[in-house]
Amino acid sequence: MPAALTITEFRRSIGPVFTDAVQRHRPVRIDRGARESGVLFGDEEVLALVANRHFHPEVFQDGEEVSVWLPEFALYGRGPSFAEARDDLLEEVREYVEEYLGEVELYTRAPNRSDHFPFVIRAWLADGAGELADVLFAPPADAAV
Amino acid sequence: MPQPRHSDLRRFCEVDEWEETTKGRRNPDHTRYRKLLDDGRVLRTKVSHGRGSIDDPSLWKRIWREQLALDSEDEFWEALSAKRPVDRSAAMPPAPTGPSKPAWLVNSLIFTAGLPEGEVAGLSVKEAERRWLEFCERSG
Repeated sequence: MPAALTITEFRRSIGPVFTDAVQRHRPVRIDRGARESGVLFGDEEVLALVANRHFHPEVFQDGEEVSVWLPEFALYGRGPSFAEARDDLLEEVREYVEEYLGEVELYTRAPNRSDHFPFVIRAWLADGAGELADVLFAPPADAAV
Repeated sequence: MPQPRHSDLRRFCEVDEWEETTKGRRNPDHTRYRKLLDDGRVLRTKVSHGRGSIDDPSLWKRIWREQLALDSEDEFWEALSAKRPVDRSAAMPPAPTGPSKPAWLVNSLIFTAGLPEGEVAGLSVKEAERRWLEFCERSG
C-alpha cells in the first residue's frame, strides 16, 4: 500500500506530488496530524470514479414552450425551442454546481441532496472540459450511435 | 386546476418563507429561491421574470412535487389562499411519473439526425426511437 505523505512533506514537494497525481495517475494520500487526511487525484481518475453516473433529462412539449427536466438534480430549463430550453438547463446546472460546491457541507448532509454529489462532480468536470451538454445529453450505452 | 402564473409561484415562495438567493445579483435570468427544512432537506426553485405562466402540466407536476416538496397541488393553492406556510412534516413525496421523451433522443434527432424540432415534438417515444434507429442504420 503506498504510504501517505505528511502535510509537511507535501508542502516541500508540491510540484512533483502534483505531477505524480496528474501525469502519472497515482493518487496521493496526505495526512495532517493523526485525524485529518485527504487524497489528491488527477481529473482523469476522478472522472473514472464518477463515470457510471448518467443523467436522464426528459423533454416536455406543451403549447409554445419546451421544457427539459433533469431528474438527477430536480432542475429544469425552458424556452421557445428545444435548443433554448437546453441552454437554460445548462445554466441552471452551472448555478447548482456552484451553489452545491460552495456550501458542500450543507448539501452533502441534506437527505434530498446528498446523493447528488457524484453527479455534481461529473457535471463540474464536464463543464470545465467544455463537455457539459455532451454529458447531460449522452445517449444511453445501449442506444445505437 | 389552473396552471400557476410566475407571479403565483413568486407569491408562494414569499408566503412559504423561502429565501431569495439572487438578491443583489445583477440581471439574473430568473429569481431563485431556497428553503431549508427542519429535516435537513434543501429545496430550490426558480421563478421566471414576466407575467407568463407555467403552461406545461407535466413540468408543473414536477415543480410542485420535486422542487416545492408538496404532497398535492392543492397545498400550493391553499398556502396562497390562507397566506400560511405549508406543513411539510409528512414523509418525502415519491418521484413523479408522467409522459415524457428521453432528452438524449430529442437532442440526437434534432442535432445529429437533423429532424425539424416540430416533427420531433409530434413523435411518440416509440416513433422517435424508430426514427433514431433508422438514422443510425442509414449512417452505417
